[in-house]
Amino acid sequence: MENTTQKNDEEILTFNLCVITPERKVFDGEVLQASMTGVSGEFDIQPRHEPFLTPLKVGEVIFSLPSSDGVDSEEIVLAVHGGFLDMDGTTATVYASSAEKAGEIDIERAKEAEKRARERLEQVTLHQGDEAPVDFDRAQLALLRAVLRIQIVEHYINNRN
Amino acid sequence: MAQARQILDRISSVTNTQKITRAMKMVAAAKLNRAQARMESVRPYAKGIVRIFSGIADDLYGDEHPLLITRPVEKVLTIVIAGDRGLCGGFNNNIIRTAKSHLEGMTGVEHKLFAVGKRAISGSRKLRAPLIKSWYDVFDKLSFMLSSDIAAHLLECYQATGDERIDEVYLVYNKFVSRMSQEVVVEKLMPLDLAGIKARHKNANEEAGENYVRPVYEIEPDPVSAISSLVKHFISCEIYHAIIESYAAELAARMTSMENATNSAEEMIDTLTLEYNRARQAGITAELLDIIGGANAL
Repeated sequence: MENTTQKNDEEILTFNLCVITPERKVFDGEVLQASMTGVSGEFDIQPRHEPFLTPLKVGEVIFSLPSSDGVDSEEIVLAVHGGFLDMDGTTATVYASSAEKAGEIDIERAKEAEKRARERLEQVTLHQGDEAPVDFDRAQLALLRAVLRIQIVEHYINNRN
Repeated sequence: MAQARQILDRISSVTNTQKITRAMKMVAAAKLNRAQARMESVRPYAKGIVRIFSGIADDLYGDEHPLLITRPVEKVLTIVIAGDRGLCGGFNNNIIRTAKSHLEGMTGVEHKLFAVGKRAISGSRKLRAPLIKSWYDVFDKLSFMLSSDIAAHLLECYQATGDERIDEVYLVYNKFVSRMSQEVVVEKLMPLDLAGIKARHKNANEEAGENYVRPVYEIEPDPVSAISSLVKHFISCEIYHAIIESYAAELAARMTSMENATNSAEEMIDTLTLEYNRARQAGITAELLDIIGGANAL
């Protein structure tokens, strides 16, 4: 890290990105740039972005790795289910409740979850009991997560073909 | 020989039991390894959340957000975490006993309970307080979603205005000290102790020998709206951590008690074998005496 800060401005092309969940470290490495969705909208982070902190929405985190051959850079997409971005100037850390790579997503399970969440949403809106607010939020979040997973898998497969 | 036969039956039954207790000990040991690994992997996340929180806490006076305000305490929620199963020594009883003295120690307030684990649910009857929510069958495949769920219910109650309102939240769970020992702890979860969080951050930094100086942050959209999201993550993380600790402690307790059971089965088998040999010898002697007696009579 110290070396990076001592280099000239022109040389700093990458920054360190960490994606940490309570269960594991999903990613830790140098990236060219990253984009994600915060509570106030989508944003990009470039090297030497000024320090900032924002809660994240359920959404994609997309980042590109520096290429080995200097031409194509590899892009990685993660499904991130809410959390925080903490950029301290040299390292950007995403603290997420959970984060999955496109390849790790079980599309069948996601589709089932989507169906379940939709059914639950309908039920909750039909019978509004005492616990309705929490259940409604939960169902809505579950739906968001499922839809995100499906989107990412489709995006990933389309990109490959 | 009738007695010898019975002793033999008992030996085989104790041997079978011993096989079971030994297998249970091994299963608990294997699961404990996994639980310990999980305890390790939550650390960076927890540290990060505490770091962010202590950073934001510097910019706060403590009255900007409803989640930070302390109120006169009238209703207290206690989250009791125990296991789903028995056969782990005094593990579950200790929790209920500590929860009971904690509840009895706070008089003049209305108590409510959340329970995690079947034994906490059944034990909550002894606590004479209404059980609002409970979760079980969650330990083996513990996910962060579960603790987010518990945190969501808790914060919902904390911010409610009617009867379901709560003013303070405590966690009662077993801390995993080592494979040989557990410790029941009572921790205050809400209202948040901002000074305590800052101290934790400072300690973690000192322990790691780091001298992390936080740069001046831009907080999007603003500190106050970041707070509610941060509090939710922080509480979820605390609950997640407590559940893993409790599960690891439960498995360690089960390992110890199954080890003891296996050892006492071994002792029992030894004693019974001795008794069996004696009975067999007695039988042979009796038969011999019969034969000799019969021969003498001729």
